[in-house]
Amino acid sequence: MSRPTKMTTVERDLSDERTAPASRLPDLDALFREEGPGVYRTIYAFTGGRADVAEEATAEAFARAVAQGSTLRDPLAWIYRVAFRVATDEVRRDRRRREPEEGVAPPPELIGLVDALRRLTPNQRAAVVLRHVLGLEVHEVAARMGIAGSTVRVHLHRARGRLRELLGTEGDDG
Amino acid sequence: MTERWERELGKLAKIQPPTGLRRRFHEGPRGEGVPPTPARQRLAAGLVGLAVFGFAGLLMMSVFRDGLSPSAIDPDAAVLTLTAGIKPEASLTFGGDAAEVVTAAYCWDQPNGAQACADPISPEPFAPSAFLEVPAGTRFQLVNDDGADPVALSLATGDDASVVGTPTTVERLQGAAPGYYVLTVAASWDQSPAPIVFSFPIEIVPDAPPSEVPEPGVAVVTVETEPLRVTLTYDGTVQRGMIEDTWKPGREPRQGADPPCDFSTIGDRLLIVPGSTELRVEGELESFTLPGDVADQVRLPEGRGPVLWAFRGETAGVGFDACFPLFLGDAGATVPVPDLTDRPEQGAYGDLGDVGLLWDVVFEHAPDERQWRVLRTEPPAGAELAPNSVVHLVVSTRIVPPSDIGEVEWACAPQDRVAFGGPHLRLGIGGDAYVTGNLGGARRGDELTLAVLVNGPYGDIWHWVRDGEVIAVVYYDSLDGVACRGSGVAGV
Repeated sequence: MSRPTKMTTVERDLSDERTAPASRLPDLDALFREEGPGVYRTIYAFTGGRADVAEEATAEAFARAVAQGSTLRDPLAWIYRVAFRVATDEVRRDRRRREPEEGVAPPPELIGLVDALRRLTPNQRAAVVLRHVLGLEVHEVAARMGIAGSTVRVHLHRARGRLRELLGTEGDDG
Repeated sequence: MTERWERELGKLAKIQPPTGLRRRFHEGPRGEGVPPTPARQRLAAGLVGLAVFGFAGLLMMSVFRDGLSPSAIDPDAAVLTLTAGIKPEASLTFGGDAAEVVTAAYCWDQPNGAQACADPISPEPFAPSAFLEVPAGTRFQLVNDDGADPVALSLATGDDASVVGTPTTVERLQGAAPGYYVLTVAASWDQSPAPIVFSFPIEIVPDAPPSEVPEPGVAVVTVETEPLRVTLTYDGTVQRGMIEDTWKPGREPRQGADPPCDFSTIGDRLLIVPGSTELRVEGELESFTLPGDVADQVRLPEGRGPVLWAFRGETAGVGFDACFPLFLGDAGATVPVPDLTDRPEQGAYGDLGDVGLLWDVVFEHAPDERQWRVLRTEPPAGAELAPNSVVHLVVSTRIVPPSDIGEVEWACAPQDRVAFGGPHLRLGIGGDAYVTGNLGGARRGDELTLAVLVNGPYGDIWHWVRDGEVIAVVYYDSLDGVACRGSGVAGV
């Protein structure tokens, strides 16, 4: 069966690895101030409203980026991928322990939205938030999530359709 | 006009992170730390494995080939095949099925003396459907006709290709206990300066009693509790259900009657089950509920065509939501390929999935067409295909010649400059490697220079220089550009 792969292998001629110019070394403190809230919101949605996991995953991802220093070419994409991985591991750990999910209950104005998000898959949640809340282009969403752009488009298509069913469209108070 | 769901979603923008987040950030990492890139991590893991374990646990394969007939394949074995052609490849097959393979970064000498390198995009953990099921006790065979030497195997539990496993051998794999594993193979050839690491997800399953013969007209739901697994067997084919949520008594399951199974992971097969099939349950299933149904009777869904069979059950004190993608129809049922001309690419995926067809995508430069739209399908609209057949979508990529690229010392005359569009799938790397890795065509000695810096990293214009002259100009954001004919940049 032929199917698009999650990974793409690209042939390139070997050239010397280039280090980032000094002007491009990441200022992670500034990045945390500018992008930290966006990472937190994305992971919050990704985990279906688990504020505790979102806080830990966001902080851990930025902290690990500091440890990496100047080796990161695209720090923000790297941070997102680490945050997704940490969040996934944490949620899986909860399920394996069969423990009740503990976390801060969503604020009243978000209960309906969080309930709807929980009816999406984690990847659908992440894709729709990155695209529609953070306003990223599809290829940027793909880089943040570490998946192909075509897969992002499928996640978005299904997420939008589901959210329309659950939350309604213009003029629909249902 | 903003729709209501978009306004609701926009409320997320008002969420503020907790005040303790910054303090937690400055406390430093708690995990073991993530290596620079997953590709380098896997390659490093393979090297560490060889260094730490030395030759103990290495499978020493003879490199003295007689150049005669290839190895005979044991049809009852799980076969691991290593080949070295224009690039190194490996496969693991059993009973006609093949495992997914993850290849770590590598460089490989080409016949013309150049060296080509490959970097995979960061992979996700293996999905359940990626695991190759191998009955416990199955013999493993290594086919190494192209003389990789040495070849080292390791086995790790779980679904993560980045984990370094325990050294093993082909013989020891036969005794592996049931469970989920990642089998990693580090193979060395002269064409590569370092071992090349391949990873395969395999599931060792308890061996079924040989006397079991599939009963015609009977579908069997089997529920296993440790680990939790639900399968549907029909006509000798076993499909593993997707477990979407689990909970213990006293916890509330996900609200709503419709478990949201994610079929955007393309490649999922549909089991074809005629609607009059008898359904039987094996294992403990203490309750069974269909969405919106108060009756507690285990039954297949009704209807024809592609169907998502989703149900809620309980076994051994654990509740779960499970989903099976099915196609209900008589033997020989076919599906017409829908007319997808000018459909957006993402919409076309959904249209094909809705009728029970799979897809892959090829891209074609079509300057006059809207970008990311379906130009045509192969086979064409109206063709009748069996369910699960693959439809090739030919999708347009519009070439956007860049404007205002400034003064350039071109290596070619104006009539030899060709516009190209950026690729659809992109490696998530940065800097000049982002340009060369995604466009291709780089040669040893080529240089990428940042010619124009425009409002941050996404507006830059880069010059691709060969032998002191510009052979291509590239916009960093879109990866559109102009290249000299014959340069090889972006296929030009």
